[in-house]
Amino acid sequence: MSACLGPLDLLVIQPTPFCNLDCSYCYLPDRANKHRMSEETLERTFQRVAESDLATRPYTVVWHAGEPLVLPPTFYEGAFALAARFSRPGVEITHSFQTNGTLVDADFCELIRRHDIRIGVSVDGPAFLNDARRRTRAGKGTLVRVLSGIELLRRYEIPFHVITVLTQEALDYPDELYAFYVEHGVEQVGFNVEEIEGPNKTSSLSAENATLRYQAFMSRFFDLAMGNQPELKVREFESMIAAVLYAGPERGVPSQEAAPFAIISVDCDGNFSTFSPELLGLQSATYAGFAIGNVVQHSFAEAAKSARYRAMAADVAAGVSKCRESCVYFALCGGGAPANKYFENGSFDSTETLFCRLHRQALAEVVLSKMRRPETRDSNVG
Amino acid sequence: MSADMLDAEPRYRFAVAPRFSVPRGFEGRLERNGGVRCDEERVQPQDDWRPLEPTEIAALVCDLPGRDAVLPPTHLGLLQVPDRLRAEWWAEAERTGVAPTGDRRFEDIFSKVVEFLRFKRLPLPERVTLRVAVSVPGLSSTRVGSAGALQGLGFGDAAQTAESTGEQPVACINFGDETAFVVLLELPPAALAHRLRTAGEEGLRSVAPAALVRRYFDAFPQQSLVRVRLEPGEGLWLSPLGVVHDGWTHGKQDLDVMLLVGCETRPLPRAASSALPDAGVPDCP
Repeated sequence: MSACLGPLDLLVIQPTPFCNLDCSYCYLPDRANKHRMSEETLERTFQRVAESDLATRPYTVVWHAGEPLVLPPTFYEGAFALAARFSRPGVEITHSFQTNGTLVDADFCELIRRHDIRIGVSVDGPAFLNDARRRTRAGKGTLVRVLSGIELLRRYEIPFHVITVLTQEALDYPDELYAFYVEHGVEQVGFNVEEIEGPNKTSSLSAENATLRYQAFMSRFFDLAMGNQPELKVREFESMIAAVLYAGPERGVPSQEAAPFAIISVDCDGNFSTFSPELLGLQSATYAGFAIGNVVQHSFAEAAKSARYRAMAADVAAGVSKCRESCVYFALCGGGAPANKYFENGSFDSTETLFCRLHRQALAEVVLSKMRRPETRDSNVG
Repeated sequence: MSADMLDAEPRYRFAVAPRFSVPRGFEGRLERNGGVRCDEERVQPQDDWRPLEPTEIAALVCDLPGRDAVLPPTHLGLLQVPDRLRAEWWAEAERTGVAPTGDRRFEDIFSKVVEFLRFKRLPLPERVTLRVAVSVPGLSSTRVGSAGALQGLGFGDAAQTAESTGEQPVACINFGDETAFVVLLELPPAALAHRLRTAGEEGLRSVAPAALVRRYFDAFPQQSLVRVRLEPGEGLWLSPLGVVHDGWTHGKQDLDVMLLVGCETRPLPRAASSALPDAGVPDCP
């Protein structure tokens, strides 16, 4: 395999497309499909990784894109055994569930502890925020069930992080979100922005004033997270601070999503893609789909020679190149997220997106301003 | 005074302040009584509170449109501050026993409250004052004058005259651990003056706010008041136009602890007839 592919950081496996929830901003088109990945497909997935040159350093297997906990713990016992069987010496594999938290039970807690699985729980904060978008198929709110899952994780002393999708509504509530995390024992949080991808054709954050409001939110949240004890770890702040410290005139941080085969996503039928994980399973008029092969029939090396992959990779690289030439934030970003470029701008070979304006540019401004000077408190208080 | 006339008068309405989340909203929050008791020293509410009828709630409460709405001065806004701010204040109060003026740690907590309220884009004036009023249970009034005596219903600083500056609360927040109450008259100052003029009263142009309130209730002792229930951490934004209000601690077990956010007022109100706007208070959209 070419030296410019990989190394693999993230193997995203879709054990099933099915999700027991029906969140309004979800990008998964097939989330009512109860199909599950076969043992053969699982085996071929890990075998393909093992036989490639991509797994040269520790990587993470994320079980996601569909609710992973709708499948029983026994499924994962088998899957983890397969992963171990095909693992390379010295290449550690960490398993991770990104779950909606509603199906966490004692059996899963035992499994998670036994295999030291990383857990990310998707929850959007207090009920008035979470239940507005994160709903069951019957249209009911999900927070109560999520919190009972979180409570169980805490009872089993399982560390977990939280992913919160920021919508336009959420930007007015940094204090309420912070209080929610503290109340429920959340120590690490990542904020995703509501993105325009696949079936989610619009984002509430496309509104004219969203950038300023996002910046105000992040600034306020930075003060709350960093200014109180214990500190709340926020993925966006940590990664941007690291990028600021790392980046220099001669170098910038690479974009994981734009790096060929740094991420491989495999769906439950064995189809796989690279670049942004969201691409797999979505339609594309330009490339007639984003899947570049199937683990049962193709190695990753073969897929890398396919016309579809080469067309995609060329466009992604051209887009990154344009970012490098035109964007002052390039050193802190590395070229953005291909999926956002495609679904917002119609092409990988493009530059700025909503994701860029919020999660890169506005975030960078917040973090840089916090790093430049200590925050002064309002002194106009008698 | 006829019902038609009352309907035509400007009056404050209640809303959840924009960009705040108050889970309970106005359900079971508002009560009304049958008037006031006036003695020589002060005006106090009668103790005949009853829950509001749905039609009364509909007339008093409205929704403000959209997340970018600004709380207009014609509205009293329900709000809620994060528990951590109350907890910080209590931790400090329990450590020091009191809240001494100028203590940096208390000022730091107050600054955080102000930062929070400013983030929520409440129309706070540039300079604000914060103080905590602590009252024992069993009182029909908690507003305290400069001499320490209970003042009864009034706008703000009881010592304020038409020539002097004073302090007027723009928000009160229940910092206690128990339900608290704010009693208020939902009529703006201009409406008080207007009613008095209509009733034939004269010499209102130079009357001080406290005297205006006294004259109003002397003239209209059956004027009903609204009692607002505030759970711990909840608060009420009072219009900067001035709201006749007081505290109420009957039925409480513990000390009533109210954080008062105030602003300095200019020499006031040439009898609420000129200094205070008396144009009609617009309806909610």
